[in-house]
Amino acid sequence: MTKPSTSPGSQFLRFAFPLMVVYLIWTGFPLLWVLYSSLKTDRAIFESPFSLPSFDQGLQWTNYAKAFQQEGFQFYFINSFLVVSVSVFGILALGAMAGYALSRFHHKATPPLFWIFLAGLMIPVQIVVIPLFFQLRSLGLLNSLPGLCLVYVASGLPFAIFILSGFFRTLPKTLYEAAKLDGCSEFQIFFRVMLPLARPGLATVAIFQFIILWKEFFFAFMFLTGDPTGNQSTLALGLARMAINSQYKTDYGLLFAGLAIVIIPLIVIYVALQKQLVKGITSGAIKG
Amino acid sequence: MRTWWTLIIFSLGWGHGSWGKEATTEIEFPVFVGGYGIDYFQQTVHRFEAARPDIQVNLYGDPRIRNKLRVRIIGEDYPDGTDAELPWMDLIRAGKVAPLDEYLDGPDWSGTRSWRESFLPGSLDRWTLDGKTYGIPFAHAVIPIFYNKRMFRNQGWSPPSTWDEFFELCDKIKQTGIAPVALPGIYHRYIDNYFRAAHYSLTGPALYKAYLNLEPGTREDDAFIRAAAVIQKIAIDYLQPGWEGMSHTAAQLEFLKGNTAMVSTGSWLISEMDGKFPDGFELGAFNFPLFPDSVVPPTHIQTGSGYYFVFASSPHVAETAEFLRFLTSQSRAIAFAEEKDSASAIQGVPASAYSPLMQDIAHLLETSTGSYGQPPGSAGLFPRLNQVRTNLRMELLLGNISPQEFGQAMERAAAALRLEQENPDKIDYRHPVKGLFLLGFFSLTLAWGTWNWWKTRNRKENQKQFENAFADLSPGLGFSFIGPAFCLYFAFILLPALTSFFWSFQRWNGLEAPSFSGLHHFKWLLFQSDTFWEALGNNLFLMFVPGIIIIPMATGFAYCIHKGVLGGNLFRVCFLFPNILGGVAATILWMSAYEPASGLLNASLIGLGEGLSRLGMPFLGDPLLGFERFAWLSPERLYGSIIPILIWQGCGFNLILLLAAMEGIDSSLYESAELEGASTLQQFFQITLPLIWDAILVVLVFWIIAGLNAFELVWLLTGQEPASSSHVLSTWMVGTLFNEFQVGRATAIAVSLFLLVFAGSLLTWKTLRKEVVA
Repeated sequence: MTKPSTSPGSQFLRFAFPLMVVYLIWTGFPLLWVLYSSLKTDRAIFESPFSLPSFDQGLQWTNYAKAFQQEGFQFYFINSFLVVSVSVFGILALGAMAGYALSRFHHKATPPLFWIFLAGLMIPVQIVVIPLFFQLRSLGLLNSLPGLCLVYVASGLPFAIFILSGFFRTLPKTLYEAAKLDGCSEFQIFFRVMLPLARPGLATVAIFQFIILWKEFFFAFMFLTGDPTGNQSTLALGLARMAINSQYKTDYGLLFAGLAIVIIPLIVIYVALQKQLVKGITSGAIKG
Repeated sequence: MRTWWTLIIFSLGWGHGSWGKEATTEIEFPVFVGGYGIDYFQQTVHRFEAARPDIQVNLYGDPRIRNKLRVRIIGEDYPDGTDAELPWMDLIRAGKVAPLDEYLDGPDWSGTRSWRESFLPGSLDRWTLDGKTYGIPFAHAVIPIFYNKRMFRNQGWSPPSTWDEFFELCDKIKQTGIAPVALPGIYHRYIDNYFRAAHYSLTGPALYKAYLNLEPGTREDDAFIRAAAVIQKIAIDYLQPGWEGMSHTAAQLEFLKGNTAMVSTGSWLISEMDGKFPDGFELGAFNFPLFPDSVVPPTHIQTGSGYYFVFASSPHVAETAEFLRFLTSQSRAIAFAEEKDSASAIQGVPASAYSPLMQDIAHLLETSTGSYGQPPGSAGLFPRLNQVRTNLRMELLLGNISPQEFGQAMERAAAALRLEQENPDKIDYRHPVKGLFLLGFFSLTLAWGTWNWWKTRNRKENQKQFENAFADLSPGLGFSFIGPAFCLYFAFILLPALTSFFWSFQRWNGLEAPSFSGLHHFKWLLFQSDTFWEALGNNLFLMFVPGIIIIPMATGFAYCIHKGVLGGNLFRVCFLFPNILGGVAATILWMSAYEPASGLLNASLIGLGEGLSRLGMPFLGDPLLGFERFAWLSPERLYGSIIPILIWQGCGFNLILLLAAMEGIDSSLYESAELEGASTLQQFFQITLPLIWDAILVVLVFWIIAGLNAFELVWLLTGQEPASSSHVLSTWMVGTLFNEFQVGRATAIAVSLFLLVFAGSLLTWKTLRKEVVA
């Protein structure tokens, strides 16, 4: 980043600064509003949307109790976390192996295969989702989190292969030859030598896929809505369901508490990891 | 945890086998969960299982249970029974529903009367076809006009009995500053309560049935148009401010708070708003008014019953019927009245079982001599007609079309539907120019793309990636390294995508055998369907309009941070957060902020307005006061209101991408420019913009893909039932699949979406990219 200079540039920035502050308020205030409204009674939310929760009436922690007891947000959290972690791990493992083999080994079949994988970046989920529904059903994987994981891994592979082959391509050939001379097997070369060197690429893919899958709704909506118990929900699906059901319950307090439960941990994680996150997105963008 | 092991061991069948065999029969019984909640029904199950320990009932549900079941029915995976809203007529015709006459002719649960005789007269008729009864009614909501009894008494108003008296009353109420009628605009189908009442009172039962059966002329006759005039008058003159953007419960709250005098909804209002009634609220209910020339007596009431059906494929028809017998027993009906304060279709429930709030309803029920209404499930009869009606109704309510035009348009839609039923292969070429244009666009883009590829296929750089290959790929390495990824990718992405192409050439409703239909679906989409063009227009709107705002904005902000604006890092971190939050959470957050009465936005605007007026700037402040109850999410403003949500969510992400590109610029370029005296702005246009052009293209392509794939935003903001003018292609596809069971047509929509994404990205990338950098 260039240092702030005293020349004409700072004038421009002095003009831009207030605009950015306004935008900052606009970004942040709705979030604050949700957080403090979640401690208000239904009536208070409805009658004075703006006001802070009143301490005389007591803070409505019951909204949170309801969100956990009635809606089961704790399960949605665990589900989302498990599904996304397992899927990201799967994407990294399968994507790295395929990306490595496709980018560094010569065979007349590898370029078309590589392009077939890349074509996946262009396939919108909508075209996949209807037949996939029937397929999952016949495999007994409908309304099951492992089924969703398999779909997520498959849908994340094109991106992973695209990014990771880029990284593998930059590794020097001499490294491979030296490892070969040392008597390493292909698997050893990959896991001991190449994979550690592709760590920045792996981080990019992991971060990107984690963000994408954490908020994924369409697949979850199509493949988990038929679940009789509703326990097999991801966070996004559970939140959407709560919003839909609130149509029948008029429970604004619950709705805000549910939103807050989604927002707060995310803020904590985000603040802790923001450097890595931004770096991940950035290097993904430069590679892409 | 067992399911997780399944994944790890990768043995697909394991998690689903059952351990050991029980002697009991288990029946699966998903239910619609609305205002009555599910507790009562689960309690019923417990008692039933105590009485019949050999039968276990797995009863569960939620408000959108029909979405789940529709999907399962397409997959031939039927539960034993349900009350969900499904296209029952089609299902009955296809022989998928079991007739229950042999059980109805047996005794009811108490054994004192036959099961058939235990129902209120006429309540079994709705689902009796060709002498066979398929549907068993239970919850039997009365749909009256509710009114605020205390308000009426204090003001000296009394319930009207004719429509003229009703409108006179509305005028009087309006003069006191109270809005006469509450209506949720997001679910404006509730105004059809008034429509049905007025229409039925003019047609009488026989003609009403003809109307429901889609017979010619029944939508433009006098009765239909007069009924349309009634709801138009109510909507234009007598609704609460901000109704267009209000949800179902928000509108009812307006009524309970005394901001409106009347509301029409089912008698489930009482259990639904349990705990929300202000102290001392007196709920009154009167039957709908009549015209002087109405042909039915005032004792015919509008009802909405939940009907239970048993699927013919169930191996446990007798056990399911047994459960229904218990569910509809007199003692359970009394318990339903006492606990849920709600009416049922079962005879012999004393008025004393209901609370004071329900007494008017109990009276209406007691004195009724007949009933009418649309049973849940009949809406599924003509789903496409319903969609047309949803669109036209809003136009009617807003006064954009006259009742006559409404009737004529409905009649046209009905005629088109009749024609389509008679001749499903005919295409009405309504959009020849647009259709040909899009077809031309596809062909040209694809031809051009192919030619480009052909031209460059032998270039050296395509071979370059193998110049420094480590070695030749051995079969072992290939299979073990590429194999797993390819199998998964093939099975879960490629194969379904190819299947979609195949299915888009078939006509298949999920119930009967599919048949080949050639290009029919595509012709229908391009040339006949209005919804396709409206949805595509909305997708294009989402692609271009927010993009035009966001991309310059993100570029500007990124440049400021790049140039070291004060607090740049904080801005970058905060701006990105909404994107991490995700579409569902962001949409729900903004939905709450847009809520007309309790939302952040209107409250801030009014607060700002009041502040400015107090500061002596009423010319600035007063217009802002007009945002009291402003309906941001009404269908005609919906897409405008989506823009801020998309900016909120998308700006930060694009900023990060563009900033990354800027940070790759050699800083000596800026230094020399500064020495030459170039201002910051000049540096931007001369150095930064040209050097980040590729990144801007990446951002553009992302936007095109995101705009075409938009789903959850529209899906949630429209309460899952977009008017066709609010659809995007994805929501329309899901609706076609779930509501209309048109699997073939839904895949055809998906295929067109794919072609659009493909052509759009290809075109942007190839035309705007200045230099192909390998």
